[in-house]
Amino acid sequence: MGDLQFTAQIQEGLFDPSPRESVFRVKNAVSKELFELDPTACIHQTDYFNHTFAPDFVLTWPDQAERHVFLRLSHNLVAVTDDLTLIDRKNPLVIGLTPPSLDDPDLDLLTEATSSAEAMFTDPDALESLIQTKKGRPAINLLNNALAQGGRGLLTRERAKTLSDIVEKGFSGAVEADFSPTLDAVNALTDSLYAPQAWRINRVLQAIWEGSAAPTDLFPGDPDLSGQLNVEALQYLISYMDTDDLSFWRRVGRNLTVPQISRLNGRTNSQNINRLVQANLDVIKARACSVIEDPFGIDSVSDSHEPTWTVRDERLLFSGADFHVQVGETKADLLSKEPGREDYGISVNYFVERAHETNLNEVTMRDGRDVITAKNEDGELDSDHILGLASQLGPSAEVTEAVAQSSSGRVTANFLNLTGTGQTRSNILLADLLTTALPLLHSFDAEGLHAFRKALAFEKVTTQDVALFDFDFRHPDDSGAK
Amino acid sequence: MRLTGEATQAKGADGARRAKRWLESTTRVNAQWVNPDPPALPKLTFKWPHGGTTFSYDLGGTLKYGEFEGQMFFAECKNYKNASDLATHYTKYLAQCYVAYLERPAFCDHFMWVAWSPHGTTSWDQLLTTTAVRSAVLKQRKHVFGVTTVPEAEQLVDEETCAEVASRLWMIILSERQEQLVISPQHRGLIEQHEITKAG
Repeated sequence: MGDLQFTAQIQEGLFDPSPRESVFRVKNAVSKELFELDPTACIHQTDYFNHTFAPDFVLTWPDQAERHVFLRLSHNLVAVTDDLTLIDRKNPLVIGLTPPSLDDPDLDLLTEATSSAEAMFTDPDALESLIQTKKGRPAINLLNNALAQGGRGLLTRERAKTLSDIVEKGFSGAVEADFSPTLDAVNALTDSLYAPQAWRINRVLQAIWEGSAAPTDLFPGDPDLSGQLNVEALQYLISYMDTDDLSFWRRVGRNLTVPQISRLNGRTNSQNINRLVQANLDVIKARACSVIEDPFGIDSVSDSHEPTWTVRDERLLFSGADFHVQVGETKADLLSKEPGREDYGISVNYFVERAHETNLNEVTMRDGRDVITAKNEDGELDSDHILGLASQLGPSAEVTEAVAQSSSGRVTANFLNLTGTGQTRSNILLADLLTTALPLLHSFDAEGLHAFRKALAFEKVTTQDVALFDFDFRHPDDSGAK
Repeated sequence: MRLTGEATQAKGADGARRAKRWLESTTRVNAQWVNPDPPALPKLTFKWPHGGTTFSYDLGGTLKYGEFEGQMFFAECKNYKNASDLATHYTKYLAQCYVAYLERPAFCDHFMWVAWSPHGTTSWDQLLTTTAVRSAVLKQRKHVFGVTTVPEAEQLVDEETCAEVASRLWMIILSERQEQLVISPQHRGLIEQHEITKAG
């Protein structure tokens, strides 16, 4: 993006001699600039321009937040200051279309009025500076969203640059639990944002600090001692974070639980739900899953072979090209079995085929009322053993349940209700549960199975490893960046 | 006491801003352009046809809803405590409306005179007539037609244009108290919310 692209467009539009064309050009440029500033905002443009009481734009966000934006011809700061007191709405975002001169003696008056009106006064230059700074910098993305939603005070280009520098350094500092830059960022964010936005972004900063294994109580400012990134802060990241950097998602998700994920509103940004879960497969525990034929009215499964994580109706779902699995922390979290579904197992031959890569401990088969449970206390069951026992039952023998060994504990696959469960009080990882149960419960083709395993693959990482990830909030162009 | 040029200008600007607020508080007006904001000047400024000088209105913008929806206006604002020399200003203003209409008719749906004092009360019912416009144009003949005598100007003045201008004239006399007696912020908010909802 070239320098001052929006500022120039706005200035040219302002001086267009046709009043209608002028308004159209200016509002069009400002609308684009607001979008670039915070792409998560939905921008509603009104018919008004430079109106004393009515906004030029209304910004809304998926979490119901709303902000009115007022454009002002800002050559006369006294007039702008007077007008600020007349805006009915609290917390307006006022954009002076001509950046004020820093030595304008009326700037102090404006600063004071901005504070009284609980407003933020800024200009196209300042916004452009934030837009230019955010590229490749997740922290500045969050900052821009927070400023759009709840920025306060006077934000000139110089202040915007200083603020983004401090925040950038703070996020980099928190990665290494460096107190001083983190403190500067906490203070700058607290000064520049209203409380809800300041709390949310500072909570993310704290999560990054905690990801470096630094004690929470040493986090500068007023740390949240609840022990984990709560759902509100997580929802904030899901809705507004714009990064596919898995190390970021890994850092904020070290204490992630299935109930937490299930409470997120995944419709706002399903890609981020996927990133969050994927990045934390090495720590998320789950003891129950079930294969669902038609989950929650979704008629079609994913077009892609690449399975993805989503949240629907407060359920965590893992969906591939031809399957949906819901996941719960325990079996009680799962939806009850679909009504009308028959209780049937799968043929033994079919089971043996599906289980060829599974470490089986126990298999229960039946034929009518005859039931056999095959167990091997010393190791895994082989297919010959299973087929041999099945032959004693007869040609209609079917498998109803199988217990298999995963890396983090035993998993029971139940073919009657298509569930996979971990043993009570076990600490089975979500990824282990699924990689063990699903190939038994669902018939994959070779391509599907490969994609499934790939999507659940993870490397076990330690806290130190997280701190050492190539996770850098600094811009790649900065000297010394990783 | 006679006001200095600077003070007159400041008082004018004050009047323009107060007029803008009052007009906008009716919810039927968006006075987007205010003199002397530099971006407003090209929209509010016109050239006298003769003499090489210009004049500009104090406000410009659009009207909303009903029969006025989307129509454009220019306003001259006079924040005077009494009639003073308003009559002279008004005559000049009428001639300016004549010139503005000829130059940019598409932008001249309405001409508003907004003042805090009436003038010409003995001929109040004549102030918005074709005759008043014609008379004002004749008075400003040097600027409008570049002629010095009335008979010469009478040959040049366009009656139809005078009538068109007269049909577009508004006379608004405000007082400080009247500026307070406007729709409440709560009710104004309802209308604005309606507009925002329309914006989708």
